[in-house]
Amino acid sequence: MKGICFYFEVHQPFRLKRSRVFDKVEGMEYFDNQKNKAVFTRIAEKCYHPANELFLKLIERYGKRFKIAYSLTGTFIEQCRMFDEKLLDSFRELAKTGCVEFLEETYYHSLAGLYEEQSEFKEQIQEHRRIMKEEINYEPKVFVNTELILDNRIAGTIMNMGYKGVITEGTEKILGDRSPNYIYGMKAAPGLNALLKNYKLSDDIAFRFSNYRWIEYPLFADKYAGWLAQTPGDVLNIFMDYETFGEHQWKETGIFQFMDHLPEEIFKHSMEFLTPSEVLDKYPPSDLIDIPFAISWADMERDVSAWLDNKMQQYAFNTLRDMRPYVLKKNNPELLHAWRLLQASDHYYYCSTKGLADGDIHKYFSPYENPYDAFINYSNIIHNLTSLLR
Amino acid sequence: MFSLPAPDISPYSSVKEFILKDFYRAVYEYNQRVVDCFESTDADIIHCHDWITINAGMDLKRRHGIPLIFTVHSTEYDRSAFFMPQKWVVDIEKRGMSAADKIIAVSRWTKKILNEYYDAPEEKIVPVYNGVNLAILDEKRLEKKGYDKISKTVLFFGRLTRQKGPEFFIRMAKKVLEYENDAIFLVIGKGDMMPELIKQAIECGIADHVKFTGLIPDDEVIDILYDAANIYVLPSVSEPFGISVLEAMLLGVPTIVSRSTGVGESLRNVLRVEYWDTDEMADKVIALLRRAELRETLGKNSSAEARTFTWERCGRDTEYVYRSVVKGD
Repeated sequence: MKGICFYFEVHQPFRLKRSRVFDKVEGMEYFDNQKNKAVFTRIAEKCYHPANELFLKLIERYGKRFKIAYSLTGTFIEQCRMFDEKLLDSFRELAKTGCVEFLEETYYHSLAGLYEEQSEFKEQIQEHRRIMKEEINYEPKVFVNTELILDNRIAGTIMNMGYKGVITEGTEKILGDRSPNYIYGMKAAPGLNALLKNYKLSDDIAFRFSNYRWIEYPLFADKYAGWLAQTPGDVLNIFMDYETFGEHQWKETGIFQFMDHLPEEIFKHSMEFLTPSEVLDKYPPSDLIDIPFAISWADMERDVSAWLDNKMQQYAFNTLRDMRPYVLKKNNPELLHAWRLLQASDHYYYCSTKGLADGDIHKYFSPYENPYDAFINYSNIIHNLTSLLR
Repeated sequence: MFSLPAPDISPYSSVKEFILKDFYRAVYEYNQRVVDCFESTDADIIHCHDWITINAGMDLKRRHGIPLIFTVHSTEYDRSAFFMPQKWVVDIEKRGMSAADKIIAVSRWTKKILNEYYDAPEEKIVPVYNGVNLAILDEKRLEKKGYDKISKTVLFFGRLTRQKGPEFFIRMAKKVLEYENDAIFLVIGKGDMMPELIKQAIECGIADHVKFTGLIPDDEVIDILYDAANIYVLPSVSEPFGISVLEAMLLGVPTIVSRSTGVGESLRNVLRVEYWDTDEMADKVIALLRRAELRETLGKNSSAEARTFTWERCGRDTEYVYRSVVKGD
């Protein structure tokens, strides 16, 4: 029986205050919590609450045959604590159903996995582990790195930390002409198996669902379930941002109704829902993959160029990475936390100057007028933080 | 008995007024002569540029029934920076817009002014952007540009009049120098405000860092853009288009423009500030002076973007406007 595996990424970054050279702000004051609250409240209302309700309802309706997975970033949970405790309750309720698997990632949704030295990466994962235990009472077994970023080194670290599996992008770059719809072993990390995103089927929902120029528009649950049924493989991995529901795709597009009807249509074709752990238990690896260069789910390139393409991004990345010994030496928890929040991948993403097609997506997610303004603000704050470390 | 003259509250000095009166008379006579000399019977379109030629255009349209197109490169409001515009010039502009079959504005910013200050109907105004002269581009020279070399020169290039906002440039310089005390501010151009600006620089104690060059030849300006300038700033109060922005960008110079600069509205690789917000302006200049990574990323992308503003494109867009007024074509 073919498995359908849904995983949703749930993340909110701490956006920065406009910080000019003249402005004297330090540490946690870098962050614009008024703006963060406004964004969080809006998305909670449009997406998180209604989507959680829908998925709870579906789990009840299908008597535990409906299953999904989430990855909640630490910064998301932290913002729940600050702005919306009830939202955390509803994730706890989802956890109690036993039909929801929570995944591990870095607390900060950072690029720390790409640092040559992996200690910072590991600590950020452990921090995530702590907050998941504390808030959701859950111990994740499967790892998903920021924006599905993965290479051989990261896979090695994850294997050594004892995770049973990892989630990444099903790109041709690593697959060649092989299908993403099977489990793969990692050449560089024996014993660690990977679930690969089927980006076509995922993007049909995440990006194309409401695009009226798309030849398949409008997309209904029966048609989509038909595509799933026709697609060969052991398991179809449909991964996307949770904000797809109600935020990227407004409720007026019918995205909630689509999801409401989808399980029924999927059951009609005798397919089953599986969580990532269940998939890994059920299927052995069909082949090995090798990832010498980092891949991700971002942009057309499916590599790390969304965050590290231009010199501004590279400067910010190198500077923050190299601060680690100085930050640790200060032994100041608030400063450490601020430094780590600044490592969120979002800040690099805002500085992307990539071409028109992808550039438009970057602009949609960015609170800045252009990547240069984003960098000026970011580098002012980095400059300020550097001065605190002297 | 004698009476005191009325206080001079005009933005123009009285000497200038005298010269200008001659100029206005010349404009009037020129328009008359154009009308007198006009004898073509096969002209399909009359195309006038700015208020100094529009009177003749209106006259000819009335006499011969030929469609009239009026390109507005700048309005009296722009030139006076909204400070005491001369009403009789505004009236000529307004009559021209009302008589014209189509109005070409050099930007959406200008279109908005024509619509709001001159009541020109939106549907009659077509924005057509200017181009930049690609001949000044020398790829080899551009490649040699060293974004990481440490010379801290910030450039102002334009007439020293209220419209161009040079006093905001000096105010910004003062703020930048508190953080980057080896920066140099180069002011190229001449105009009414020169004495006032020099005084301003002296009074705020930064005269050593602000260099007024007066007018200099174009090729020298190009040399400065290639070799010396790290940053170009155009803080215009109201700039209909701003070709100099495209020239600086084309030669890879990171550029900051006021939000009230027409060309800025359609550019992605330019930094924008309000002309009066010298804190923001200074912050951006400081970041550019400090970070070669920012200068290089912005500079290279600027040059690529400026190249898309060709005169061919301008010509095509203008032709499209021509076709829209010629009947039976």
